[in-house]
Amino acid sequence: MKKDNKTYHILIVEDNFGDFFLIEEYLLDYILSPQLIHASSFQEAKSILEDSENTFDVVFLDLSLPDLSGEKLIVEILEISNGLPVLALTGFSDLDFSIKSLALGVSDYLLKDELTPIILYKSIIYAIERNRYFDELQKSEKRYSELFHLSPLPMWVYDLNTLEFLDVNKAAIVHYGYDRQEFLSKTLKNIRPPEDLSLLEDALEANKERNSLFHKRVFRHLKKNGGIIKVEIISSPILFNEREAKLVLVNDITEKVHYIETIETQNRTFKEISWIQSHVVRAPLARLMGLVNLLENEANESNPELTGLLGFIKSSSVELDDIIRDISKKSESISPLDENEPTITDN
Amino acid sequence: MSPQLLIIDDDEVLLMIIEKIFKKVNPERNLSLFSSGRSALDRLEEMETDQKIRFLMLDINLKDMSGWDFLKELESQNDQFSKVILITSSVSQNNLETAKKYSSVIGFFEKPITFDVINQIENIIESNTPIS
Repeated sequence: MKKDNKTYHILIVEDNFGDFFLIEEYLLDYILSPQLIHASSFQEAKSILEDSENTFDVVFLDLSLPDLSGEKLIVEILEISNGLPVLALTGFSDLDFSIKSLALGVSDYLLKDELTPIILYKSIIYAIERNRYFDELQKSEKRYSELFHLSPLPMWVYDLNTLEFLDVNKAAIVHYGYDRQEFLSKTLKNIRPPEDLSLLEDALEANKERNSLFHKRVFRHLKKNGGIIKVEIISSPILFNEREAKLVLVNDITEKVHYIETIETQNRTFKEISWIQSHVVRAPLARLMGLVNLLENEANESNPELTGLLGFIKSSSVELDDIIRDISKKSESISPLDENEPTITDN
Repeated sequence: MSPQLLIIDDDEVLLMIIEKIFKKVNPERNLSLFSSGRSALDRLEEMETDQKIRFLMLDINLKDMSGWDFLKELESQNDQFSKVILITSSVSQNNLETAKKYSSVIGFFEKPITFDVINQIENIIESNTPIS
């Protein structure tokens, strides 16, 4: 028979030497060279496990040690075994307790009287593989949980039917001012200004008809301090603890909207100013130019000195006219922010 | 008799300038001066029965109404006899574009009104006057 030639580091916590040798023998049947360390009391096991020099793949634990036994022993060992698979060994058959020990976190429950080499070997392999699988699952869950909880943007999950908050991240708590418990006792309706509730209902109704994975909309939200913010919401369906839910990402665009409104107002004022330039300011200038033209005609030839002075007034007014035309041309090249905004004409 | 020329501008100084220039360019020209759009429209209504071509120098920025409102009212009355020369103190390109939408408009000038402008207006009036 071909033996498993992988290296297994195994801690056997067993006060009965006969049982220890039996286990060692059984292990050697299937494993070429198991690295065994033997502890005969809880204290000894503890110091071995707490020594960071030692690494194990699996721990065998006899449930009746001289210094500790039963449930208490299991709890203590699991606490210091740092996620290692622990296989319980017991001399008596107690189905209730075996189930309980599994619930406490023991990987397997083996009866010494029924032990065979193959059962022992399979139990080790299964425990190690199962442990690796759960370990990876946990890591992946942790990764996704961190993506949610450490996101710099507020996020939450809400129940699609009751609208209750099922989970909120730190950014949401900081941004809205409600603590976690307050959030979880609220529904979506509680973070809307009362006058916007109909908008929420419309959106939820529209949501039901839509199947898209990601959906984006702008709403007004209410913070704990009564402040109202404009937010862009991106949501996608998610199954959360067996409940139909939505995962929501919030982007506060209050500042952005305010900024754009300011620019729009300034742009309007600016266009008004340029309109005044090209229409109102130019009217008296045009009158002045007309008068100069008339005077030039009157003064022609009869008074060369006056003609000369009028020439200066004329060139000054032309200069001013050029400036006004320049400003007017520039203002006409401003494209309206809103495509529907009419260009200003004379009324 | 040469056709009438109605000059409509709320700037009294400008009316005076125009009048003085015409005296030199064409003293025969039959001028009527109006400082509001309303008074000119009332006069036109009275002239309705004449069935004769008349010319209007119309400022786009009147105090009581815009030149565009004036033109709309004129066209709504189905006036076939009023030919309009628009004048404006503004330098906005949009005005010229808007002016093209009105069939009664036959000329467009930016202020200042000078001898040169009045000479051109005289030419427009001449070429649009039917030979009787």
